[in-house]
Amino acid sequence: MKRVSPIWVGILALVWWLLASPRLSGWWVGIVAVAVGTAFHVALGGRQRRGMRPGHLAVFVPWFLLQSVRGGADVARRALAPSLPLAPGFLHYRIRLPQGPARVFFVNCISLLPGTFSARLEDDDLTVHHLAEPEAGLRRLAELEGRVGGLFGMEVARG
Amino acid sequence: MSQPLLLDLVSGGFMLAGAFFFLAGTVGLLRFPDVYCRLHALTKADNLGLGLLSVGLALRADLWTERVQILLIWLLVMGAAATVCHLLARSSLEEGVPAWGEDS
Repeated sequence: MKRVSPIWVGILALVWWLLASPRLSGWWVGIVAVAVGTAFHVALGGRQRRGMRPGHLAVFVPWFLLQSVRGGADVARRALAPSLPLAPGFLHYRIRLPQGPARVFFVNCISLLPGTFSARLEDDDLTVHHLAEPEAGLRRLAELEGRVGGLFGMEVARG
Repeated sequence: MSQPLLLDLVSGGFMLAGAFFFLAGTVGLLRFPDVYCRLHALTKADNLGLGLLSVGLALRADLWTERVQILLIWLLVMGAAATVCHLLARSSLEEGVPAWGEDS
C-alpha cells in the first residue's frame, strides 16, 4: 500500500523554507511545490520500509567526499594532460542490493566515484561507463555497494 | 595577521580552487572524444568545483541560514547532476550513439 510519509512532507517543507528564507512572501509557491513533491513521492512508491540509518552517515559522508575529490581531480588531470590519457569503455556490474532506495542511492553515487558513471540498469545488470582502468572501477563499485548496504542496514553478499 | 584577512585568504583559496575545477571540467568537455567521456568531465569536475566554491562562500556567510542554503544547493545540484548524467547516458545508449574507439 502506498503511504505518504509525514517525515517526507516535513523535509520538503523544510527544504523550501531554507531556500526561500529570509523572504517568505512567496509561501504559496512553496505549498504548491511541497504538494507536487509529495505527489511524486507517492507516485514513485511512497513510504519505504527500509530507510537510511542516519547514524551511519557519519562514516559514509567523509568517505564519499574523499572519493568525489579524487574523482574530480582524476578527471581534471586527464582533461588537462597533453596526451589525453583515456581508455574508455563499458563494463557490466551485477547489483546485489535489493530493489528500493538503497539501490537508487548506490546507482546515483557511482557517478561521483573516480572514473565511473552508471549508464543503464536492466534488472540486476548495471552498465557502467569507465574513463580508464576498468579493474579499479569494479573494485570501487563493490566497495561502494558494501558501504551503501551498511548505510541502509542490509548485508551485501560478497560477489 | 588579522582575522578577516585570514578568512578572506582561506575562502578565496577555496573559491579559486573551485574555479580551477570548473575550468578543467570545461576543458574536458571540449577535449574528450565522445558523449560518454564528456559526461565524466561534467559531473565529477564540476561537482568538485561547486563543492569548493560552496565551502569558500560558506566561510564568508554572515548567517547560519545562508550556510545551510549553500550546503542544500550543493546537495540538490549533486543529486540532479548524477540523475541527469545517468539519463543522458541511457538515452545515448538507446539511440546507439557510438563510443569512441568502437567500430561503428
